[in-house]
Amino acid sequence: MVDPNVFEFVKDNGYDSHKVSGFAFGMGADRIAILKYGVDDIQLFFQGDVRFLEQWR
Amino acid sequence: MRLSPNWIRDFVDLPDDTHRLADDLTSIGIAVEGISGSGDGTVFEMEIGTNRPDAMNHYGVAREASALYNKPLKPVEARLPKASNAASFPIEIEDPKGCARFTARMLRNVRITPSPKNVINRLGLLDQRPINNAVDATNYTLWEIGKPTHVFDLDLLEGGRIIVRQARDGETLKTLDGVERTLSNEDLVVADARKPVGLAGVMGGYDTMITDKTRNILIESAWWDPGIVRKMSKRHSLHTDASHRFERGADFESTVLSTNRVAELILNSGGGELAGEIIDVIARRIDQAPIALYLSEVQRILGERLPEREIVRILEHLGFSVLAEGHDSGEFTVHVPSWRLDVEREIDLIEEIARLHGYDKFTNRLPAFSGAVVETPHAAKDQKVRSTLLALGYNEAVSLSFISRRDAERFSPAIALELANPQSEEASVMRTSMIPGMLDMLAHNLNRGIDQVRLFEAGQVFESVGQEAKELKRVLLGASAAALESQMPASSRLDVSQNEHAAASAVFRCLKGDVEQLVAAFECGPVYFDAKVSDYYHPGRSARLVLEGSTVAQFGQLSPEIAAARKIRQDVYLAEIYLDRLYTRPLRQVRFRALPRYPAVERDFSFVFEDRVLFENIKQAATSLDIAELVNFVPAEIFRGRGIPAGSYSILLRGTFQSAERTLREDEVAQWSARIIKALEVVGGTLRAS
Repeated sequence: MVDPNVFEFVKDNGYDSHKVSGFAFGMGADRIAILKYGVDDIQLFFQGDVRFLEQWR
Repeated sequence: MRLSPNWIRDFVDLPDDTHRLADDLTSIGIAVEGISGSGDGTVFEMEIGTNRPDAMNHYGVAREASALYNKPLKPVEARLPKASNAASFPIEIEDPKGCARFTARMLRNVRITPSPKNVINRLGLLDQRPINNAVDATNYTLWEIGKPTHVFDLDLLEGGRIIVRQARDGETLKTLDGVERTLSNEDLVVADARKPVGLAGVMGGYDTMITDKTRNILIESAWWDPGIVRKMSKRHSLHTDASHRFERGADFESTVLSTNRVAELILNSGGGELAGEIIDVIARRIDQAPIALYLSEVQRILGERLPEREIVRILEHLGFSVLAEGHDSGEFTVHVPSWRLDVEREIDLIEEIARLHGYDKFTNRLPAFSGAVVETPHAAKDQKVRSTLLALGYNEAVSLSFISRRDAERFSPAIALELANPQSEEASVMRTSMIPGMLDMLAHNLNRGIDQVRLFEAGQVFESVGQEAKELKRVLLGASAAALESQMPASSRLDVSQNEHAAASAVFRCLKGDVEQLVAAFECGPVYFDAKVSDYYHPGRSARLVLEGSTVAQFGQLSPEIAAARKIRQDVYLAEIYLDRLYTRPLRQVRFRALPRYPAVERDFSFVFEDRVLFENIKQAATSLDIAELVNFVPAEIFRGRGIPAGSYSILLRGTFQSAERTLREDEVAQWSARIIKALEVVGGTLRAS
């Protein structure tokens, strides 16, 4: 559930929290990849190690 | 933190299956991360959200379980004997903001002994060290109902009264951990008539603690302002179970019950008597405003019509009192219990309803959607950039969006957006350049013996412009010299001079070729290269690509000084492409060109030019002759050294002539060649005898 306070930031763009409600969810693409491919360290996605990058062909 | 399901069972009926219990609690947001032990010795490792201090104890979780399983919740009561008469013990609160309420009571003729077995066992399950019956009583009460309390040796309190006040600059207090602390007037203390005896809400004093000589006890249970406790905890680097709870908001109404419960536990184990009635000083009330709840709003937010009875049941089980406004109005006034400082608005109540109803129990339904899927504006161009670079052998990498202020200043003239609460100096501004991240990644590879590395990152940089923040698309290439060299066919050197610069410039031209390949994917008008680049590039091994008056790319070898300062072991090359400008051009469309039917003729021109004459000038000289049949005009070889004056270079230019309609005649080609030679002499060239 999106907290109605969040719509305050965009109320000038037409988001009236009494009329609009929201549902929010997030998925870390890196975390999903970890689960799917068994990667053992999330930092690998941000280090640019060629031995890691070249596995994704 | 650890909790014992067996202890929770003191207050509510729980399922026997502990795994089911753990899953059920987790599904309402009271997360059980691990289970250890078995039977009565089972322990739950809990992860309770920081906004739920009321659930950081057995009774709070029991309350949640009673709402979850629709079971009655046993109230906590302290059964005490009649109090004897006693002199009063005044409590003065000088800082009502810091301390809203201070409750105390005295016990006399108590024996300090080890706690009863069941108290020791229960504390042991939670990894709490038993000390003596008085201190353990406060610990037990903390874990039972979540209220931190403190016990003083009454006879060691001087002057027969307590004052809650600001400390005076320079006052000292030795806390229970034995550390002598110097206080300032920003600290809030519990003091007797002479001296501080406790750091409010954080830790009690050493000199007034319970020892085996203690006979008379003063129990304290107070409400402390969360902000003040947090600051003191930080200032003295003292984080305790007590401060942890006070920082998150204690229950204003629980001071009396907790005081009595501690008294009960001490009297039951150590004998003694209650001296005087409870002393309860309220400096100011902490009240929460009631909340208007509309069933229509519950339905609008949750998307489903929950029965009114279910809504009321959930809220009442959690301790909210629900009053209907009129009959069947769909409107309620809800009073928030004193332990739920996290609930302030109607939406908070709706979340409680959804949470206990069960997020997984809402009907699955797709939302209504009208509209089309729209491709993001640059999807095709991004795709082309990416596939071109991958095909060229670059690996795509992602680095962090924050860099240090120092790096921002080094690699970009733009003003960086500063983070309000940076975790470290290394990540304190939004990146104005992707270079620092790329250099770190190149170094990461080179330091691990990976010599050949070519990376690209497609992303954004951020600039502060006036009051606004601008996001600019870039792609940055980074490559080690070894990687670029390995792609070079051995015979393809342009500069055949025997010097170090020639070797390096060959590597530079490999990078230039990659940049040209990338730019060639776009429909660009006239472009030219010059040497005006940022100062972090090695002059002479770098260039800038200009398209219609604006810089579209700059690239070259990273200045060796910077590479050395960053401990990068090899020459590295970078190419910055400003996609926001490149993307103003459309992608190049494939247009069929008929294959040439007539042979091409090549002519070579060998010239010497002074260094100041750039290839752009040379090329311009030839192409501005508007010879339609001149289909190509490129440098084939460059030479500096023996036989060539210093400050000049020799260049072999290769022109290709071809017509779509006929075979070219020798005399035409000769004529065009003469014109070209003339034009090259005009821009300063000296024809060499060929």
